[in-house]
This record gives sequence, structure tokens and C-alpha cells, in this order.
Amino acid sequence: MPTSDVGDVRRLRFERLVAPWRDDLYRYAFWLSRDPDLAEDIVQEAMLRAFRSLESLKDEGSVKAWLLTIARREHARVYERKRLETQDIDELSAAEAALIATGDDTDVDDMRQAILQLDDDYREPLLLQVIFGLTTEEIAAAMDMKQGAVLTRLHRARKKLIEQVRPGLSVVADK
Amino acid sequence: MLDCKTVRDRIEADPAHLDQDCAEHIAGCAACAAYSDRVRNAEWLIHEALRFDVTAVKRHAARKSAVRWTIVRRRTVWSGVAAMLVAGAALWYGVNVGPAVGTDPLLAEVIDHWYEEPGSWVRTDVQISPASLVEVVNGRAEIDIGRLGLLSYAQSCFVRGEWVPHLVMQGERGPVMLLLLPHERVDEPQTLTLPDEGLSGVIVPLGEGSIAVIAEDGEPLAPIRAQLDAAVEWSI
Repeated sequence: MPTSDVGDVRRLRFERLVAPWRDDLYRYAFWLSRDPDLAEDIVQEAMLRAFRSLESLKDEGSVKAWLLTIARREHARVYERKRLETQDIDELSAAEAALIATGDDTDVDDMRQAILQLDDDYREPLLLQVIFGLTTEEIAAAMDMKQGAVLTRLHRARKKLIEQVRPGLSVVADK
Repeated sequence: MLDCKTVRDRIEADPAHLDQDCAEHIAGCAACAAYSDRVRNAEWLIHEALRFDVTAVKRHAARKSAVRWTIVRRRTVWSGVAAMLVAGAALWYGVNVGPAVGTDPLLAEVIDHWYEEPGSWVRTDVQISPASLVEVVNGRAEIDIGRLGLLSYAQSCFVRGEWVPHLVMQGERGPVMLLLLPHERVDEPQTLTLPDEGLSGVIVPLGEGSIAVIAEDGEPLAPIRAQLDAAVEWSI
């Protein structure tokens, strides 16, 4: 097959398999880094790596896990390459300002504030569960953790979010 | 039949994948059904919050690109060397020393759990409320809080297939982790010593279950064991 045809086949496969995940990868990178610009860098680099190594993806059904692995590594690489000297409050402001630009309602904004303030350890499994629909077993594999630890973190994450955004919820009387 | 606390913990951990036991409990418990509905409402908010409009965020970021706030500093050669040294030391430690927990899965899980909860390693004189202790213990035990000294932390944690109370009391040298394990029977005390990590601990039998205690090295554990014997009684 001529080289250009090979390139076309790869591009079409990339468009079919990988491109549909681009927005979710951006959301994931955004919430991990809490920085819209850094998120874009991570996604660009992850997409490039995915394109270059597309032939290594044998099982198309595992494209989501494959992309997540690439994005997680890229996120780690970014933090290895760069040392962010900005204060947390500035990071939050940049992320908050970008999210406010979406014009969503107050409750959703309150929830975003609460998510931004979650510890990284609690936020990531929640992202994987909600954005990518991973099971707790898949999250454990992706994060190299035990499933029990994932369940604890998810439980803790929701509890914190609910306490902050829906404080009345935890006082429902027991049977 | 599951109790309300367990069901609610499971709802909060994975609301989209509740098992049959949970579903049956919710079907027969109005309070948990109401709780489930409200968590689902909060879950909708979480979904909406996380799945923001990417185009709007990128557009905003592009407008702000002229005033980028990120300051980037190249990692120095020395920090790279330091990182390699640390990684090398960690590798050497893992291969040659390793935690003194042998292959006992319970000990390993307890140690793992210590590292899972850095938020609990705080030296403080702030006591948790009795209500939060009651919520976390959830009827698994009767605890005479007056005999335990200052309790500074109480959470439900998933350990070896069960939600168990994770408490922290303030010892002489700092925070002391207590994992109440009503379902883990041990025949005799199992000690663990991690001198390189500055930790020591013990899993002590208590009735049909056990309690894991981990503290900073040097913390006198015998008085703590005596306090636990006097203060904790299983009720399941």
C-alpha cells in the first residue's frame, strides 16, 4: 500500500476511535490540572502520542483505557517537566474564571467550586467514574490502587461535595 | 439485611451500580429511599459540573492567553540527580528492607490504609463530636468515648470488603490510628514495626474481631491497648 494511503488509513482510524474522546480528555486534564491552558497542552500532547502509536492499539474496545493511560502519563510528564510556582489560589481563580464563562446555573457553579477544592486523590477517581464511566475495578486498574481504596475515595469525595453543596442531605433520619 | 449506614456508604461510593441487597433495602426503607433520591439529585449536579462546555472554556482561555499566569521553571540538573537518588534509595529500600509486614494480607492492608488517609495524621486538640463518632461506628460497637482520650478523626473506610470505623486518637507522641475490625479475627496480637518509616503498631484481638493500632515509633502502645479493652465492645 502506498505511504499516503497508509497515512490516510491511520488518520481515518484515529478520527473514528480517538477524536470522539477529545472533549472528555480535555475535561479530565482540566480537572486534574485545574488550568485550562495546561489542559490543552496535555490533550494536544496526548493526542499526538496516540496518533503516533495508534498501531499499538490492537483491541479497539479498550481505546478508552488506552487513551486514559496516555493522558495520565502526559499529565505526570507535564508536572515533571514544569514546576508551577503559582499559588493555589491563582490556579483556582484561572479555573473558576474559565468555568464561569460557561454560563451555567448557580448550583452547578457551587458544585464546581467544591470539586476544585477536593484533594487531588479524591477528585481523580471521581473524574474517571463520572466523565469516562469507568467501574471501580477499572479505576483501580487505571490508578494502580486497590478497589477498596477507590471505593473509600469515591465515598469520601461525594460526602465532601454533598456536605458542601447540599448540607441538609446528611441529616435524613435513619430507619 | 444491610443497615442504613452501609447502604448510604455504598450509594455515595457508586450510586450508579448498586447491588441487589442495596436495592432491596432501599425498596423497604423510606429514609434510605429519600436519601438515595437526594444523592441522585446531587449526582446530577456533579455530572453537570464535571461535564462542562469545552468550547466555552477554551474560548475563554484563548482570550486570556495574552495574560497567561503560569510561570514555568526548568527543572535543574541537580533536582534531576536528587530525584534519581531518591528513586534509587526507594528501590534499594523496597528490595532490601521493605515494610516489616511480611506477607500477612491484613497487616499489609492496615499499613496501606495508613498511607491512604494523610488527612488524619494531624496533631490537634480538637475533639470530634459524639454524633460523628456514632455515625461512623454505626452500631458496630459500643464505645465509651471518655476512656479513649481525645479522638480527633472518625471516618468510614472500606477495608477488606467491609466499611469499618477509622478513628484517630491523640497519643503522647502524636496521632494514633485505630481501625476497628469487627470481622477480622486474630488469635493473638500481631505486632508490626516499621522503624525506617517511624511507625509501629499492633493488631489486637477483641472478642470476635480485632483492632489495628498504628502510631509513631516510640508511642507507648500498652496503655492504648488497655484503653481500647476498656472502651470498646462489639455490638454485632
